[in-house]
Amino acid sequence: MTSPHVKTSEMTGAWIWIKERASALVLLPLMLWALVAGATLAGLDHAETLAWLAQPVNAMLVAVGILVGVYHLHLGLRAIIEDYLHGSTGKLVLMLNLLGCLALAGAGLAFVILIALAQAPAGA
Amino acid sequence: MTETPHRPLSPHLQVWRWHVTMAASILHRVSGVGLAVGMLLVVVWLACLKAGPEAYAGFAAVSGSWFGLIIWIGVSWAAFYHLASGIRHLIWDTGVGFSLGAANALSWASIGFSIGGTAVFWFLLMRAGVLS
Repeated sequence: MTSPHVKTSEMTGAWIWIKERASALVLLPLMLWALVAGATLAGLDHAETLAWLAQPVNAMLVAVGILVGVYHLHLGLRAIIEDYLHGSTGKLVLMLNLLGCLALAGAGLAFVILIALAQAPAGA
Repeated sequence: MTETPHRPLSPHLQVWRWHVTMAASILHRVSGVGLAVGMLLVVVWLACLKAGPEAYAGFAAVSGSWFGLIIWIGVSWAAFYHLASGIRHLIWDTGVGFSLGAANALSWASIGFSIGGTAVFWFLLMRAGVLS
């Protein structure tokens, strides 16, 4: 069914369209929250920022924001790459996009978890 | 599927008369890439937070420098624009707003909201004394 001259979006476009919209709807309130969080965190020092992230709701929203945000980011960059890069260059950059996004989400999530574990009371 | 490797590829920006829906569409991609930078900065922020007070002080110092502020103002604009422009797309997805007047109005509204939102956001931050 696949042809070398057909973009991914022409094969599974409807499903990608739904994934873009679904993640956008989740990100809409998260982005508003992120703007408020950014304004709250501006000017705070290390200890104050750790205390902010120690609140479970904040850590949870940061983690979900990174996961869904990077997912949406991957879809968006993929759409741009498919429009401008073709052939083997395009395939290579699409692969780099996927690997980069996986690394970004993995690192972000790992830091949130490591910070939470480091702050957990001993023996908990 | 017949193969037509030499067909024209879209978009040919140079043959279009400038119009606001085109600008809004380009800005949607520009702000999306800007938010990619923002997401990268969020992960760097977490890395510095994990690394300790010294690294975090360094992150805060760079963020508060004129260079850092330009980056953060850009990222906040990208957030406001992508948010508004994204809602514009979600409205279109319901099948309404496709008349020339409505499409132009939605596009201008997104651009206006992003400029106004960014201005108010940074005005409030400055008034709170965070950026002194």
